Amino acid sequence: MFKRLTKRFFSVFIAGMMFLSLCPLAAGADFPKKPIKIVVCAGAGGGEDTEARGIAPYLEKYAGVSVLVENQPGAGGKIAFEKFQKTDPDGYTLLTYTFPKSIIIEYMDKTNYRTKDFTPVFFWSRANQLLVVHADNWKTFDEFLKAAKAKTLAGGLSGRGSTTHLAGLVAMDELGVKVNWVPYEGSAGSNAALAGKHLDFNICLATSAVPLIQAGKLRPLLMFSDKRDPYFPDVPVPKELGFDVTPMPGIRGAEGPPNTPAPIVKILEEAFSKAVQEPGFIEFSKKRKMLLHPMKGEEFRQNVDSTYRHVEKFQAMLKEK
Amino acid sequence: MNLSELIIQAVGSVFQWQNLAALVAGTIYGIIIGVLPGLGPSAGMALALPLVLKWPPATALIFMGSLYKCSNYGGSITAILVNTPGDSSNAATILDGYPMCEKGKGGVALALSATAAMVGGTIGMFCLVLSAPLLAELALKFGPAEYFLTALLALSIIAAVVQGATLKGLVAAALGLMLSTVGFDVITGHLRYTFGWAPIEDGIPLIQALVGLFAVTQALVLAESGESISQVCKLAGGFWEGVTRYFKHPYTVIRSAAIGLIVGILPAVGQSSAGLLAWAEAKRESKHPETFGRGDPEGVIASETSTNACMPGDLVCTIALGIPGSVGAAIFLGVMIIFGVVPGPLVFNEKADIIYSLFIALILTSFVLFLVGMTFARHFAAVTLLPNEIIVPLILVVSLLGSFAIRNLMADVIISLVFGILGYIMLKGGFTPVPLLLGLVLGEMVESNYHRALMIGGGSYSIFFSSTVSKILIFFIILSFTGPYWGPVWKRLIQQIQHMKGGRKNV
Amino acid sequence: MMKERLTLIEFWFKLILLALFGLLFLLSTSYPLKAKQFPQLIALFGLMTVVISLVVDFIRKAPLAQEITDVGDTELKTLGKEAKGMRWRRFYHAWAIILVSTAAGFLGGFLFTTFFLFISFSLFFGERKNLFKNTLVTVSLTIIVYFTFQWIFKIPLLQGALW
Repeated sequence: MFKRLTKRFFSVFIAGMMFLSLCPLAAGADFPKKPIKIVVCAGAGGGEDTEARGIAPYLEKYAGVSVLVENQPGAGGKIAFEKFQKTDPDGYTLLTYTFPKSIIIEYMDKTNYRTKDFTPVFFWSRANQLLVVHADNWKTFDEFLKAAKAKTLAGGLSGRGSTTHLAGLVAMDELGVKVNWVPYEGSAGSNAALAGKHLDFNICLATSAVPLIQAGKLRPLLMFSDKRDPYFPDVPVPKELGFDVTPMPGIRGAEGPPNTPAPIVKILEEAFSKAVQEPGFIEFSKKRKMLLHPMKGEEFRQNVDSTYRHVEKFQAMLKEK
Repeated sequence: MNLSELIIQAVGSVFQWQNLAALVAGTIYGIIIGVLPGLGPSAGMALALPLVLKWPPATALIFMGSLYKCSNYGGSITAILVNTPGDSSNAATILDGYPMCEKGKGGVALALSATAAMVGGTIGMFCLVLSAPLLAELALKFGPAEYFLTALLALSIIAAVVQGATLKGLVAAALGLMLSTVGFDVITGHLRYTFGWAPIEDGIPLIQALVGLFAVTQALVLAESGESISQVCKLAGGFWEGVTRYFKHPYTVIRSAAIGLIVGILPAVGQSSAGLLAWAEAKRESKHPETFGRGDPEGVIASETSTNACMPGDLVCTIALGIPGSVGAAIFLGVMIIFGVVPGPLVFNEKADIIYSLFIALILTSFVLFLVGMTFARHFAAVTLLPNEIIVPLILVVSLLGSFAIRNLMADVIISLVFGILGYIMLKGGFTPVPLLLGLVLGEMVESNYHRALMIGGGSYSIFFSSTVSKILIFFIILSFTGPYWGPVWKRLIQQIQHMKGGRKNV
Repeated sequence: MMKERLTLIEFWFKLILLALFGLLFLLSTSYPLKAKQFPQLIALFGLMTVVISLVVDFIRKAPLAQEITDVGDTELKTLGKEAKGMRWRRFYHAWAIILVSTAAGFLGGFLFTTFFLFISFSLFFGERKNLFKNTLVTVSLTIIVYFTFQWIFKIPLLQGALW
């Protein structure tokens, strides 16, 4: 008897829920009408998560609805990416991550998503990679390069499959240097090892090395970027020293699922562009030493294409045999 | 401004009403989060982050810091009353805490834990405040070779845990080590044993496995018995007995706090090992090791003092160098940065007021925790009286929710259930799941640092004993492996000498 | 009698472990050198210890009881056949409930798992006279879980395959 009661209760409940779920569809055309969710493919407290939570309140102001941040960490982002590929393109779910992480993962593994398919909405920051050595060692990049060419140095690899990994490979290859890469899970571990003089140098995201540089343990030698980073005014860039190294910055922003309709993208783009200009957000980005570099959807799409070609070139290096 | 002026100013700022409120709120919230198995300090901080973003920096950091610090105590409550560690750091507390509860000394155990939280936490905080930069320097000396040896040392000391059923303990540890290889290999980038299933690509998630091995298993054991814990465990008073009992073991306290601090200071060695190492050491050095694991209060004292000293240790590298000492510390680091308090030695100059307020507040949390703990512990204990049909789903819902909430993946619930079955079979087969947990935790540290050390050393093994630290570590490893054998040899030697002396007398 | 049952579970578990370690060892042969060193080492170590353990089991059957009490499991007292049957039945019931509730969770979101777990346990494990009280507890706890975790912490409790 209980079983029947339960069954009846269950079917009524299901019917009720289905009815409720139909309602939002009827409201359709004006966007946005309900809260927008930003999915972060990393855990709480990390760079991606902090930036998303930083911009959320300002986006709320211009989108007119509340903006929630949801974490979906795992597999370097792959789990979130694959889920995102199948998400409804209604504009209520956005994804934020450090580009070109998703492209690198596509080349490392078989994936059920294609970065090409995602709809770029807006991008707000760049993160450059930095070459650091222990403060007691080489004082300039030239000294370092001479030593690196004479002997194979031990370099920190801050996370296989990450943007930093690829940037490091590309940079050292273009500089003509052979490296004994020692893999770490992320910049924290490799920077710590370098600070203890267990490594010769490290390539990491600029922001992650700041505390140790301030502590006088590490010295930044080269910033992999087109022009000098305002937060690291004393660090030269390759061009100045006569080297041609393709920068591979980590670009952070938001994308929509495949086939998001253009008018919805437009509305979101507008809201984002206004949000990044808010003085509060600019304050926030200064504290985090975020390099603001606003980019709208179209400009970003071109970036995607050129990065695909680049990663293809270096994909063999990403996997160790 | 010199140090004493700074401290006075910090004390003043802590006693502003909003900071005090944040302190107490963080403590209570931390305890509650800790009690829920699966939801640890990292989840608690992540979940609370949106709420605190709008607060002034000092208040927010005090809240988060108190949360982080007190969640361990919450976990010990569940460990003692329900035989389920709230977080991996409480794994050692179930070994003696629950047996004490079963013997009717649950109240004593809870009091021991609260006192340990107060004392261990205070010792840890004082070391942090007085010598953070120095300790951080020491931590930096640990490179891959040293980490490998440390992990090996931890594994060998833990062998003491399984002295009762050595072979089975080794099997469990081997299984744990094996499971730790599942997933993405940091060194080669190769995916091992994942069979294309994304949720385990980062490896078997530790908390989900912990929830399965302990919480789900315990729920199954209870379901099978059909009883409530209270018939399986009586709760007599004895809270003050616990407090006074704690102070009768000063040597254990000091040693455990030291272990906890050292484990905490080393980034990459997390809190899970701290409690177990202290427990194992206490057992080894005890005059009656066979009582450990059966409700010896010293076991609870050791493991809880250690884990409570570990958390301030975690903060040492986090604040002094910006290198997080654990997952929870990493989130705390993120929070610090959001509020513009960039860690590093400069932070002691630039944001001295905030940092010292934080330190003073954290020292205070130890005492607030003790008060809250003692007042409410008996109410928590009511959970042991709940009827079977409520307590079983309660444990399941709360712990599986914790499992789920970390990545919002239903797959994690499946992982927990699988580990639940494994834990149950192991229990029925006479295995302890604790060595498995430790193998799972330490496996990666052993393997990846072994490879890294060889890579740096160019393939030569000399790197494993070149530095002073590594020589010290090797000495301890040899000591701990051969330790159990010295006892009988020593005794026989003494007997021989006495015999000879006696013989000569007779002649 | 209890000892025999125990040895059975333990025996089969060890056999499964042997198979597992062996399987994992074989699976890793195709991995690159550095990636397979550790797994193979551990697999061999695991195999060795399980084999030694089985050998020891066969040679000395007596100390088995001793080892179990070392582990601190108080459930293993000698029980009557009837009581044991009840225990196994409860165990299977519990698992059935867990599986159904998890499936419900897959379909409708974790909130359904919560609901189903509580209601089913109270139906199958509780006494008739407590049914009303337990249902009250179920509903109120489900609501509390919803409010705390969905509203305050924003964890998606209603996200499932169906919607």
